[in-house]
Amino acid sequence: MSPGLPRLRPKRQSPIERLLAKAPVHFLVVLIAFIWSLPTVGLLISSFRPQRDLLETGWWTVLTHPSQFTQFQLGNYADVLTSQGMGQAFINSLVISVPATVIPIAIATFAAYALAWMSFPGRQLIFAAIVGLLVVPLQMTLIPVLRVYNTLGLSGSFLAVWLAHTGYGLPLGIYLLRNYIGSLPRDLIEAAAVDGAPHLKIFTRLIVPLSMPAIASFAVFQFLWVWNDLLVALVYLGGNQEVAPVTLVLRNLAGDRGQDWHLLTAGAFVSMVIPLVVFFALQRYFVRGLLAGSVKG
Amino acid sequence: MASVVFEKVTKQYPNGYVAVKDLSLTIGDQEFLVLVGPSGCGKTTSLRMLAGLEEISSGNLYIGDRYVNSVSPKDRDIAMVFQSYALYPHMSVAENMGFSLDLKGITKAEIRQRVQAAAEQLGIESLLDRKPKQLSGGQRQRVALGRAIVRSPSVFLMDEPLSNLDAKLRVQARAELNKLHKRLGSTFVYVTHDQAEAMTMGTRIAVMNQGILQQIDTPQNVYEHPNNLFVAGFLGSPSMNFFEAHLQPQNETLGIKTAGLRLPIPPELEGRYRAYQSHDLVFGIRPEAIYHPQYAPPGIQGVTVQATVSVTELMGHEVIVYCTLPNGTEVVARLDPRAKPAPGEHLELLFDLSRFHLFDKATEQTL
Repeated sequence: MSPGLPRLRPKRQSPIERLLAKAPVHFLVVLIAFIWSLPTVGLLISSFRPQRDLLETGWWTVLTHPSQFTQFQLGNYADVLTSQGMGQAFINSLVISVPATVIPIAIATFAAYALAWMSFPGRQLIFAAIVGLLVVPLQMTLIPVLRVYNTLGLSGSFLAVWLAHTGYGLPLGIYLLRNYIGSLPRDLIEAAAVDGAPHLKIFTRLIVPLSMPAIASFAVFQFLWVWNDLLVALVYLGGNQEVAPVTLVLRNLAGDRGQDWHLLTAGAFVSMVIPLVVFFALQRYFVRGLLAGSVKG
Repeated sequence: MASVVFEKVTKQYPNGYVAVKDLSLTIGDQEFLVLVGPSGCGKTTSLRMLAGLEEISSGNLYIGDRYVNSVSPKDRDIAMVFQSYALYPHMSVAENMGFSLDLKGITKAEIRQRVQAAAEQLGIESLLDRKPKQLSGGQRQRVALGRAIVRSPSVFLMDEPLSNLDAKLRVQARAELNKLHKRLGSTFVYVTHDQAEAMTMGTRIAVMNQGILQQIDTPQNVYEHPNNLFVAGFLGSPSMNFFEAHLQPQNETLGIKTAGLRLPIPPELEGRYRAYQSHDLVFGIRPEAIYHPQYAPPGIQGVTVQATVSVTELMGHEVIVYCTLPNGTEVVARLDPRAKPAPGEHLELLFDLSRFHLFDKATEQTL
């Protein structure tokens, strides 16, 4: 090697040097994770504490004598699960969330295919209008939609919530799916057309299976949002306990003056079970789907 | 089995760009027609119009006796092999090949049988259960071909199907496609930018440039009798040598005068060129019509020219020599490797005067 040439390979670092070099980044990541999960940990600890303790002292006081297990109890969970209406609320939440996820996915996937691959006048304009809808706050729609529902006699019914969630979810769904479906190779769609597939067959046999990552990631978004929603359910279902989802029941559990806080914390953890199941079931798609649009393999 | 007729077909995009202009072309039944030209010449657009993937702006298109301008791709009875192969990634090889039959509502048993038969023809029976991502490039190319074969369409369309293969595989696939064409006896329309593919595969080749059909003929005729400067320069590697030229009387006869050369025209050709004495011309000669005098075949009617070798490329069976004439003009010759030319060496080149071309400089047409 001639002396003038720069060294191509960097000096080999010792493990300690490498650790030191990466330490600030690691520290920052751990710190962010810690801050992020702190409220959840507090909620979890609170959910195991008796009502009296909870109202008197903060959750962190358990850390002063962590080995004293008598300060924890499962009574809150027992109370929540046996409390009136909780089982029904779970069923109601599922009855609301599943159709309110499936309907927008179905509509959005069709719309995304049409906007990406069928040529018709005004296509770009429609897509732009849909993207524009993303910035409209849903609070703006509450009163007008509720008035329409009242006229039609829909308020207080599951159908009202399904339709509302479908409407609120569609702009994001169409936007995400159109971008994903639009990035599928043109050759594939043309090959299917030459092979004799009309649009509907191209859609069902090609587009849907190939778009599973994007569909699954949108499904997770939509399901979590509907499951955790309080506002939409509260407005369109009113005080109808027959159809009230978990979120409404939890709010009622807390009591009018917040005196039943211990039940709310336990109830919150109970209500997390289903979203966690959904998330972990679709998680591999979720991660892939988010990346899929940007780095196409 | 069907013929294909393009009748003054034009493709103009909404932004005004004309991709194909007044294309008139008849492709005979069972013919293997190669559309060849540089990128952007309109060959792929023509193929896509034939497939129905691109709308025709004006003109008529017939497959067989059927007017197909507004017939959708699925009803044209064609199959297409894409450059990217366009295999459906979520389906197995068998499902890929059987997809079109499945859409037609053919029974599972018959699909399996036809897929099996096509797979055997291509030697891919063992791959039927694999997914496209588990295949090599050559295997994918066969599957794409298989997907076209199972349908037994009347016209096969191929858009540069070999361009993603490595050089050795490409030569092999070329021969296999030729055999396949003979065996199937269907009409093949094949698009490529590779002139070697065009020369070796087509029963006829159509050379296109800037959306306009330049010449259509058998490979040999296009090579030996190019219609114009573009065709002459496009086919052949290395390409033809061109020199600006005039015709001048030399003694009793007619001669060609370029900046560095004076070449007599053989008496039998004189009559053909006499009328162009006042025109600006281009003189063209292919590298293989220039010899090293020592290794020239006997009986060549030629003229010797002094040249200096600048670069040599030894190909094994021949050596390609880039030379400079005394006036600085570049000339490429394809010589016998035994001549062993070395850069900087002065040598004599023998121009075969029975194998030159003359073009009108203004119209670029062959005289």
